[in-house]
Formats: sequence, C-alpha cells, structure tokens
Amino acid sequence: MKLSSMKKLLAVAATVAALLLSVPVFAQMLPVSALKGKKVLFVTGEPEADHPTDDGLVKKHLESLGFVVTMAKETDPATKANGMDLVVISSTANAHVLQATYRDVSIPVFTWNTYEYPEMRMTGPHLHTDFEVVDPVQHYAQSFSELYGYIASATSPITESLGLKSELFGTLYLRPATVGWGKPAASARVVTNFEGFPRRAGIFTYEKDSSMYDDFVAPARRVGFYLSDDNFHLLTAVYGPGAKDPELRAWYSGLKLFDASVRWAVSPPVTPQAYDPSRLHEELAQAAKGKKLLFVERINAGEGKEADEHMVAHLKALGFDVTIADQMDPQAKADGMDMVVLSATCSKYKLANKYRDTTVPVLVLEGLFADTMRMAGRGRYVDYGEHGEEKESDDPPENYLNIVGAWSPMAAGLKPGLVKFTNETGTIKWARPTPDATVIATLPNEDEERAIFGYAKGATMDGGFLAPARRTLFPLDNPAFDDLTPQGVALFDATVMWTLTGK
Amino acid sequence: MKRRNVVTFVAIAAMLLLGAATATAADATYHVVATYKVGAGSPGDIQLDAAARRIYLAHGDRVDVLDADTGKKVGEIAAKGANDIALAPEFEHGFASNGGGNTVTMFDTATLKVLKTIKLDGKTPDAMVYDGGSKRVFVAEPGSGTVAAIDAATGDVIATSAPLGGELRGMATNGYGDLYVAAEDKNVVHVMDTKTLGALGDFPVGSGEGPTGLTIDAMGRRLFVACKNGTMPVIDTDIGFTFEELPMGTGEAGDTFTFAPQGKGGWKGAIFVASADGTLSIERMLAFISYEAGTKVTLVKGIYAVAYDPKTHRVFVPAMSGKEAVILAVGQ
Repeated sequence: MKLSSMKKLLAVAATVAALLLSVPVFAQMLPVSALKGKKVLFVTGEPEADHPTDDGLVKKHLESLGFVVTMAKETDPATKANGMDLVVISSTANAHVLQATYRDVSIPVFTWNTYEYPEMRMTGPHLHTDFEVVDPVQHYAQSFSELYGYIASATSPITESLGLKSELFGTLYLRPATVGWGKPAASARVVTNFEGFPRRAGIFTYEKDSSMYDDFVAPARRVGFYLSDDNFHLLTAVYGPGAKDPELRAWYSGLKLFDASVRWAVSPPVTPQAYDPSRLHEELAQAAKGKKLLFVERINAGEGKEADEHMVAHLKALGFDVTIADQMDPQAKADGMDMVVLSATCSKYKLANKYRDTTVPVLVLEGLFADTMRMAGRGRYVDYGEHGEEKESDDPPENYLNIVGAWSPMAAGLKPGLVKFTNETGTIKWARPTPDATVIATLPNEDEERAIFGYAKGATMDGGFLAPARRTLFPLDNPAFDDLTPQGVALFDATVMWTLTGK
Repeated sequence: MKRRNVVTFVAIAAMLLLGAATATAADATYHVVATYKVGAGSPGDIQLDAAARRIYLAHGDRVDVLDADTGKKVGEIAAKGANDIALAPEFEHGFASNGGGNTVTMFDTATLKVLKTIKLDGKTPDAMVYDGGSKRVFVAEPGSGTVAAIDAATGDVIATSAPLGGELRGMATNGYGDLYVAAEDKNVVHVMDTKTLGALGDFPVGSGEGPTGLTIDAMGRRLFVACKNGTMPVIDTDIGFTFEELPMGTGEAGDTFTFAPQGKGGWKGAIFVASADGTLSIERMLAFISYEAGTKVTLVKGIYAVAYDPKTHRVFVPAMSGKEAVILAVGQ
C-alpha cells in the first residue's frame, strides 16, 4: 500500500472513530438475560380479604424474568429504594398515603397506579382531564372500548423491540376491567393510547432528564401502564396454534408490552452530551462532509433572502454540498440527496405537497408546512400555529423556547427549561405532532405547542402516514437565522445532525 | 388403572333461567341419592350412554355395565387392565384401554361382545376420547409419550403420533380438528391436529400445577383443566389463554369429564369436578366469559371420575366403600 493510501485510510478510520466516540451513548434495551439479579422494590397496598389483587402474580412474574423482588408498603420511606434497580408501584398502594415518596428517586419507576401519576409529576393533577380510571361499574361501555388499545408509537424502543406497528391491539382479555390512562407532558413518548385520543396514554414513558408535568425533570426513567389492581392476569397473550399467526401475535401483545416496558425502564438511560457548541459543530462538520443537501427556497425572496443566504453559507461551511432549488422545482430534485431543507421563504401554497413522500430526510423550517408534510393535523391554531405573526396570531412575539427533551441529541446538551432562542422577539411557529414524534422544545408556558420535534423513519405521522425518512421541524421564520443566539445555533446544528444521521 | 384408578369430573349443566342466587341454593342440595355396588377392586373410568341408560365402568379385568336408573348390573366385557372407556354411539362401539397389555378392547355396545383387541404401537394406553368430527378414538400412551388414533368404525389403528413430551393424561377434542392432551409434568396442554396427529403448540395452564383432567365446551370454545394443586384454569381455546382460574378439590383429578351445557342457547351450565381429596366441586358458568366457584360436596377420598346424566341431572361418581367399589349417584 502506498503511503498516500495509508494516510487516507488512517484519516477515514480516525473520522469514523471520532464519530463513534462523539455521539451520545444511546441506551439499548437490556436483553432478558441481563435482568437476572436486578433488584426490584415492589410497592403495594395491604391485602384485603374482599378485594382481590394480582400483586402476587406480578411478583411471581417479575421473579420469573430474573428480578429479585423486595416488597414495600405504601408507608415505607423512599430510602427503601436505595440500592434498587427499579421501583414498581402497584395500583393497590394508596396514592393518598404514598404521595410523592418516590417522585425524586433517581431510580427508574414503573407504575400502573394511575392516581399516583400526579404525585410522580407524570401527569397533571386533574382526574378526568389529566388522568382517568375507567371502572366497569361506572363506565361499563367505555371499559369495553378500553379493551382496544392503539400502538401510537411504532418507533419507541418498547414497540420496536417487539416489532409492533401502529395499529389496534387487545389490551386485556375480553371482559370489562378497570384500566387507567394518563395525559403526559410533551416530552413523554406515548407508546399506546385509547379511543383515538392521541394523548390518552395507556402506556407512556419519560426518558431520564425529560421534563414532566410542571417542568419537573425526570430523575430517572418513568413508565405508566394501563393496568389496575386485579387484571395483570388478563394482559393478552396467545399460545398454541394461534401463536403461529403474526397478526394474532401482534394483537395479543399486552403481556409482551408489560415485559418490554419493564425492560426499558430498567435499561440504562440515554446519556446526553454536555452543551458544547464547538464540539457539536466539529461533529456535524465530520458528518456533513461531502453530503448532498437540497436547500429549497423562494429564489429572490423578499424578506428572508439574506437569512437564507447566510444559512446556506453556514451549511456549506459545515461541508455540505448544497444545491439550491426553487419552491416551484419538482420534488425529483431531492433524488440522490442526503437531506432536504425547506426554507420558510417558500410559499406553502406554491410548495404544495412536495417532499412529503421523499425518502430523503427533510428538515422543515416553516411550521405552516406541518400539515402538508403530514407532521401534524390540519387545524390551524389547533394542530399548528404561530406566536407573533402580525394579524394572524393572538399570541405575542417570542424569543425563548422551553427545552423539554434534554435527553435527546437534538437538544444540543442544553439543560431542561427556558433557553433564549433568538436575540429579539419574533414569530415562532409550532405544531402538534403525533405521539410518535420526539419533542425537544415547546413554546414557553405552552406544553401543547411544540416548536422542535422529529420523527424517525417509519414513525406514524398524521393520519397514519408513515415517515418515509426522518422529518424534523425547526421553527426558523424568514429572517430568524441571523438572529439566533449561540444556543439557537447549537439547536439548529443539533437538529441538522439528527436529521442527517439520526444521532 | 395403574396408580390412578378412577377418572374424575363431570360437567353438569345447571341453572340457567334461574339466577346465580338460586343456583347457589340449588348447589347446596346436592347429595348422594343412591349407591350402586359393583364388587371388589378399584374402579376406573366411568361413561354413560344416556340414550341406552347404561353405565360403563372400567373395573380391573373388565368393564362392568349397569342400568343407569336402577344400578343393576346388566353385563360385563372382558378387558384386562381396563383404564379408560370411550363410546362411539353412532357406530354402537365402545373402547376400553388396557394399560398393561398395550391394547384397546373394542366392543359392541348393543351385544356387549368383544369385537376386537387392538394392538397399539405405543405403551401403557390410558386416557381415551371419541371425536365425532373425525370419527376417531384417540388414545393417550403415557409410556411412550404418544397418542394413537383408531378408526371408530373399523377399530383399525390409523396412526401414532411422534412423542409429545410429558406424562400424557386427560384428553378432549373440539370436534373440528383440534385434540387437547394434558401433560401433567409439563404443566401444559398439548394441541394436536386430529387429522395428522401433528403437534400444533402448547397451552400453559396459568397457576395450575399437574394438569390431569380435561373437558371442553366446544360451543363456547372453553377448555377446563383439572389440576392437582386444586386449580381449574379455564382456557379460551382460540388463543390458549387462561382467563379464569377456579378453585376445586386437590389431588389427583380425572382423565376425562363431560361438559353438559343447559339452558337458553345451550350456554349456561355448571361443572362438577371430583377430586382425590373427596371433594365434588361445583363450578358455575354464568356467561361464556364468566364463571364462579359454587358449593363443595364432600364425598369419599380417592374419587376422580364422574359421568353426567342429562335425564336425571345426576352425577355418577365411582368410589371405594371399604374394599368394595361403588358408584355414587349424586343429585338433588
């Protein structure tokens, strides 16, 4: 091998190594074999003669998975969790007695105690609004509806590990039973939901460091599950001849979802890298080098032309091979590209539905495109909207965002909470993605108005549309790129990085 | 019948148009209304030909035949080591498994004459069941872990399965292609194809341990599994899912028992289960997804077979009275 070739090879190897070392350490789902010996604290209520529970069955089941289970009462202190790998809270524990005992523990918590969700800050405090317990005595017909769950997130680690897609499934065996749902905060991953309500979550998860209700930062992973006191044994499963049918296996997946949820909870969390714009810039430059990027804009736009030019210069400086396309160019322009950026200078009306179906990752800078891109529903000011748009918005201009998904690499290592996004207040767009999106930032004080979010390839977007490739929204109104704060630039770079690489 | 003499259980339909409260009161009235003496030696399985009013009882070296209404012995069929009995009424054929000889005795239920001694390839034939869908008699062979299929019309052995694993006990069929075989030491129910005898998979039995007896509600697609630990899982046979567990007596339970639905649409009923601890447990069916434990009647230790009489609504339970075998007629 010639010396020049050797140098090239070494350079490539160094680049690869640097990339591998620089990306956040993504948690994998622990294999079942790794559960052996893990310690679980199982918090339950006192047994009552006239009130059957499945706590004993759950304990036995956890032990069959390899866990070493220690029982705890609802009156025990949080210190009882010291040294444990997982806290499991049954609905038999009285939430009024338990209160916030385990809210602050830096140990994963898995619970089907719906009334405990508010205490844990996993939902808001209002029964019927923030959470609900559907009891067949009081809600007979609805309890039958809850036998049908919907896999809202096919890209969550839990559902991915089971190969489930977005479709209905049987939650519990065919008899009315009490179930619970919660309406978690924006940063939660809604794994399954009920009755067509996106955030009526049967199973939902919070990654460590994500912002839960009232911006309470999750000290460790948190999982809510739809069970109740005495129906663990009714979690669906199929055996015998039926188990050979993939459709039936997918339908009867209640028990598998329970197991996978427990497994996710006890697996190591995602570890975000600390905020370091220069390192992020370097990493992005390594990833971007030689990558083909299609920048779609309104050529010769009025407002925003200069900002578009600066954005393109920024992307070129990172190493992208940038091609400019006009909003009227055909989608075929994206063929062969590694990434597409849709500038806010494009007219939604003129852009039409282009780039919705492209199998190239797309970064959308205009929130109004959320519906045409199937990233959100079609209701203006319901599914998407804006702050600060003169004549079009009741909300004042804004220049801060609330980081709720600090765990994600798209958050650029920024801490949870408010971050100054642009120097001056201005228009910031938002949209309300489906539960299969990862939400990074919302507008301040507006949990439902999500400003930065992303869909992984295959994620279920609006109306069941499956993302042909990664899709991200980053709200950058026409001139805003030039006004980004350093933190805003870091968020931009991190979003570009995730759109391009998924990391 | 080796270590398990008597086959237990019977499902008896109960109280349909009445309600659960009425049913509870009715359960409590069950008691021994007659005792039929059948002589020395431990009894085995019991079967009833309700139309012909005949009881067949496997009894050591023979099958005793009794009048179901009077208890009078009307005949016997030589069958050495008789374990279990299966009746194929449409052919007027009966079959008795002979564990020691690895054979099945085929007899004429009209004349009570032996038609054929069927030699099996498997070992220690025990539980049997007649499947009206395939017109076959299936024989569990715990000694070899296999199941044999016999043509109920000709008595020819059609096939013997590959070893299934586990100690094979009670069997049931759904009448449209599936054969269920309890595997006592595996805590599962094997599912087999009645046509090919191929293994189709296993059903777990929830918290049941030691499944020995099976019966099926083919219309409701429910399989009732008698387990030695005093648990009766109720399995939805479409998906092999145990959705209910009912308490019952403990100990050895029967190889066969009968589900006999009654009432509107043939749905609701009650299951009577005999266990080796002497308990006759009444399990009530309230709806096809709802069952509950009813009354327990204490009989005689060692029981575990039952036959249900749809005419009198009595249950016949073989038992020992001193050194003599008897059949207890239990009714209201």
